[in-house]
Amino acid sequence: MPPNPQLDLNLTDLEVGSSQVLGAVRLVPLLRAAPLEGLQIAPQALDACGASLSEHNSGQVKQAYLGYVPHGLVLHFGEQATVRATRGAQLVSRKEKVRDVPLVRRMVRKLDGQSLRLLPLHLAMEGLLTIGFSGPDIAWRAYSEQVLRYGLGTRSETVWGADEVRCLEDAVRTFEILHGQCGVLVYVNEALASAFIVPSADDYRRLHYSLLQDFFSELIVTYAALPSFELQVGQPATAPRELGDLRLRLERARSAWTEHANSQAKGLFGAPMSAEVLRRKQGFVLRRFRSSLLRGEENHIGECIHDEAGHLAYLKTFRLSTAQTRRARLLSSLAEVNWNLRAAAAQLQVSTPDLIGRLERAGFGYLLKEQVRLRGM
Amino acid sequence: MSHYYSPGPSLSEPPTMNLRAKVAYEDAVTFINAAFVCTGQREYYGDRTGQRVSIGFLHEYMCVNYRRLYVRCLAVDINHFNRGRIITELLSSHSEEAADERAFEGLMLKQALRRLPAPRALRALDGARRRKVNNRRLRAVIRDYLAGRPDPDFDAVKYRGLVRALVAHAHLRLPKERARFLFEGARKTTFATPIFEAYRRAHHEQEALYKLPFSVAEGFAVRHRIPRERFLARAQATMTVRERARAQARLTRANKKHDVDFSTATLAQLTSYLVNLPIDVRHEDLAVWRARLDEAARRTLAVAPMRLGRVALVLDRSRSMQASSHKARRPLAVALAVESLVRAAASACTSFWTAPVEDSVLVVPYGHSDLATPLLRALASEPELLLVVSDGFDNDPPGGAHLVLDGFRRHLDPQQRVAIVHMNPVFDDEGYAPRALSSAVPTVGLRDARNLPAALSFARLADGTASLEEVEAYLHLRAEALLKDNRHAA
Repeated sequence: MPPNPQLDLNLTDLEVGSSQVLGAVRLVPLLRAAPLEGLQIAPQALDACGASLSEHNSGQVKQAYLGYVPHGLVLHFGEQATVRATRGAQLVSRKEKVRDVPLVRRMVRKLDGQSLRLLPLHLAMEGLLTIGFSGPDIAWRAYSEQVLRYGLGTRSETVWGADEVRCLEDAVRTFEILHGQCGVLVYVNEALASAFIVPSADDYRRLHYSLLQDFFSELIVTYAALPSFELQVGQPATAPRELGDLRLRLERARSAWTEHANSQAKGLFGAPMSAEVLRRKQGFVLRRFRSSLLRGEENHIGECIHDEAGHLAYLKTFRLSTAQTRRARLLSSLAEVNWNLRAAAAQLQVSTPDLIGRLERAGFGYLLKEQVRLRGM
Repeated sequence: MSHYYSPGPSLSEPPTMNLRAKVAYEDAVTFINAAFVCTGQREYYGDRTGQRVSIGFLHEYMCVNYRRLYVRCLAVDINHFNRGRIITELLSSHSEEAADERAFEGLMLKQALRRLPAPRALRALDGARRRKVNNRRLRAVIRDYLAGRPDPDFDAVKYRGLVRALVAHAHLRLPKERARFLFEGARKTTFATPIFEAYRRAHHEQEALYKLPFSVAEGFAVRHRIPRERFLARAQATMTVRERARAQARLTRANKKHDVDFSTATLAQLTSYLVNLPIDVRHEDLAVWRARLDEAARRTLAVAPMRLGRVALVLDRSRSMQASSHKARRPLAVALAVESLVRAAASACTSFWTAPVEDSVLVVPYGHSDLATPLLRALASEPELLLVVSDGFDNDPPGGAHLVLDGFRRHLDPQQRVAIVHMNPVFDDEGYAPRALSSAVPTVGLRDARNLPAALSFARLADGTASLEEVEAYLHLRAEALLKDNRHAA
């Protein structure tokens, strides 16, 4: 995604409310003093099996994104009192099918002059899957015939539904939606699993339960099953003498939690992101982004909408698991050096046979010719 | 300081106890505590199945391991659901105790059955029938219970299904007409008994159904297609107090007025009704509601007198006090009832809600559970007794209440000059107990503010420093009182 590499996400427009904890899940409400004007978001039930990405002139699906798409978001630009969103029934023409699997049209689709429909998270996931998707441009001898001709062909990542994340459903059901709440940060065992922000509190109320239709990486599912985190707050060694001392201790505990909450979001907010602009409409910009894919750090992908003044109007993110990051990193470093194996190995500071071994383990062995694979291992 | 709650020995020196007695003590306390609150209904956090499985386990465990204690639990002010369950468990398992203990158990069963509301008692007996138990004892218990009811004909109409099942199960001989009514219904000729005759006529005559118990008449009203509002207005005379309050709530939602006599409603009924009313309705006659609450509190105190000194209350009104659609806002109603009762019983009472309210009549569940801040303010008011009513979910900051309570108990008040009790209206099925706020203070289940004196006296047993002997003595005392009351009544 080279065109617009600079994106800095921040929470300056939003106030962070006090969090609530259930099991390993902690939800942090994000509040706005006033709703952001000019954009409204509503849910749309889809229950589709994927989206068509590009089509032949004949109307046949050429490229498709397959995966369970339970819901979409309808974005309405400009002033309007209510957003109309369809529920359930969607007329699907024969064109939008691939091998009898019904598809919805495109990741981002214009509905009328003022509205768009997008598939949340799938949009970002598609960005991740298309890294280096077309394969090498130079016919390096190491790569197999098929990859040189057709690119990666199929690329897949496994994700988990929200019901696999223990306690998340209960947390979403039981925690109160605050007045003016426009977003939420989902922590699972103190790892930022997802951030979700919408322009106004009304939109948020409509979309709160859509959190349960999102997907999460296996990292988050595993974290949710671990014993829950307890914050150790350092307290003075001397025994309290009066109620004032207890009050001080309480303040300490409270500020420790706030500090902790702020520090835990640094992997997403304030970290450099490479972004790609997908749409511009009435001053709003829809982008998808991914973090730097560095090893040993938390990596997120997501999509966001900023208004003309640069205020964050919409955000939805997905935390990548380690294996997903590794696969994306391998492909992106190969793509950066024109798929030159030796140059990529030098960039990753490993030997070429090591790089081949890594590709093999990451499930990309099929890209290489048989003899190269054997030599590499 | 009240005589209901005297602080136990200091926390720093736990009494020596052998392990067996300690386990028995903890089991008994856990069970009684759970039986105060759990009703097998869905809670805010726990679902219905979890609640049922959890309380079911506790009952079976107690019945098998501590039958003597289990029998005596019938005398404690545990809720009707659990009393019924104990009766079912006892009736469907045999006792290996000595003869005098078995006789005692029989007396307790008889007395407990008589004190339960009729549907609960009948269902408890029916529970044993459903477990396919049929022995001389069960048949005798059923016979005695049905014979002891004030108006068996009325029961036969109102609880026809249950009564019929039990009569058949116990092979009882009934007066001819009642037997015909139960087993043949309204099919044949006229009855001489007025209520049976009304039942027969109600099949084809609208006028007759107003002579039937309300719950039975409701079915006939649907059959005759009588408009709901007209039916409710006319059937008022046959409604019980609760039925009338329910009808009133329904009519209030439909913007229609209906007169309910709150002069006999219990505190729990009144507060449960009040916290579910819309705010503007409560706003309209604030003073009236305040007076009704005070009046109900005075009535409760007249039955079970209680004197308290300077009391501070910390009352949770966070969102989770909402409970579920099964028990709408019950925990909040308990908090409000405790406030009204303590206000009437204490020489001085200050209350601190987790989020301030203009008047406690206007309270609704809202906001996070920040218990630590009101706790500090309550402790600063230097009370003799501090009561916390909360579901035990404390999350702003997590563990804040424990920080304050533990610090206070351990360092500021090791002599326990201030008695602190946490009252929890919610059963946590995963912990098999009402969720504790802090290990430094006892947690007691409380479902009805009427049981506050009992809960306070139980708090001393529940704080982990008492012994099995004390629990046994407590239970024995209650059982004796119950039986004496019985003889007195007889």
